[in-house]
Amino acid sequence: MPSFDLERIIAVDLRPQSLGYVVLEAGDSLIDWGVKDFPGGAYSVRIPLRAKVNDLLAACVPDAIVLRRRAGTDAMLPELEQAAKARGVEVSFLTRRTVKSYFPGCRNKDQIASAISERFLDLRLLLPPKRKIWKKEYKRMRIFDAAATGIAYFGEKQKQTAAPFPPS
Amino acid sequence: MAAQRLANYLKTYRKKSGLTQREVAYLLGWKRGEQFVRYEKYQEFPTLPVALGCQAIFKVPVTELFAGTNDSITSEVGARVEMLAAELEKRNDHGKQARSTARKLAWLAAHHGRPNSPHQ
Repeated sequence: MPSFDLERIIAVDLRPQSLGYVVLEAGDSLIDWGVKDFPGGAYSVRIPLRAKVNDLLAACVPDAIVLRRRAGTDAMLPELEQAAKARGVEVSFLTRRTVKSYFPGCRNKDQIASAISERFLDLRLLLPPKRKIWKKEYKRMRIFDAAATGIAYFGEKQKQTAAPFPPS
Repeated sequence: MAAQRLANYLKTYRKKSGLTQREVAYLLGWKRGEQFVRYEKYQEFPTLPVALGCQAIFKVPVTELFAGTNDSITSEVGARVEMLAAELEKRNDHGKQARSTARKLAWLAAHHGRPNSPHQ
């Protein structure tokens, strides 16, 4: 009987009107990625955040949702947490500093995104050009932000399991 | 928590290939992509020709494309193998029948990793 000890997570980059996500399995296997929009106001969409998150959870059957707290998303977090709770999925938060610590030598988001595209070659085509300061961020950068969070999550997990004994 | 593999990885391999659902449907000989969407969303199981078609398109073995399904079927069959072997071991055959039972048990031991039975 085969037994697989793999953890599948959805790493999410939640923004006020959209979310970027990557699905990672066992830390090094990229299963899915994309951006989902749910703008409000005049451009509001029919399908709200919760329905989109539910679809995502049904498609990926993750063990955990991993994300970073961001300004302007506090009102959306309860919705996301409820959707996760309904399916028995754990929600983990990482800090910006923790995520950044897994990309030593990277000074900004563009460099982190390049490092991620080298690790996950499937994302190479999505790598946006370096942002000019007067332009808004490319939407697909959200995928790389989510991937960075996912990588940091597995890094933290590895750290917890790798060092059970204190140094002698 | 140890997760099981997904029922299939069609979406993953399709996205890695850069093909659209419509293009994969075309490669499978269909006019529209809706049926492929149903497979990707685990709403339906593909037929054997479709599964082999996917293997030919993505150049990935069927057991990898349909990893979760493969795992569950393998474990179900494994459980039934155990039950069949236990039943065979209980038998009190003689002569030709006993030789046949011993042969089956030896085959199960060789191919399904069961310990050798006293019948041999």
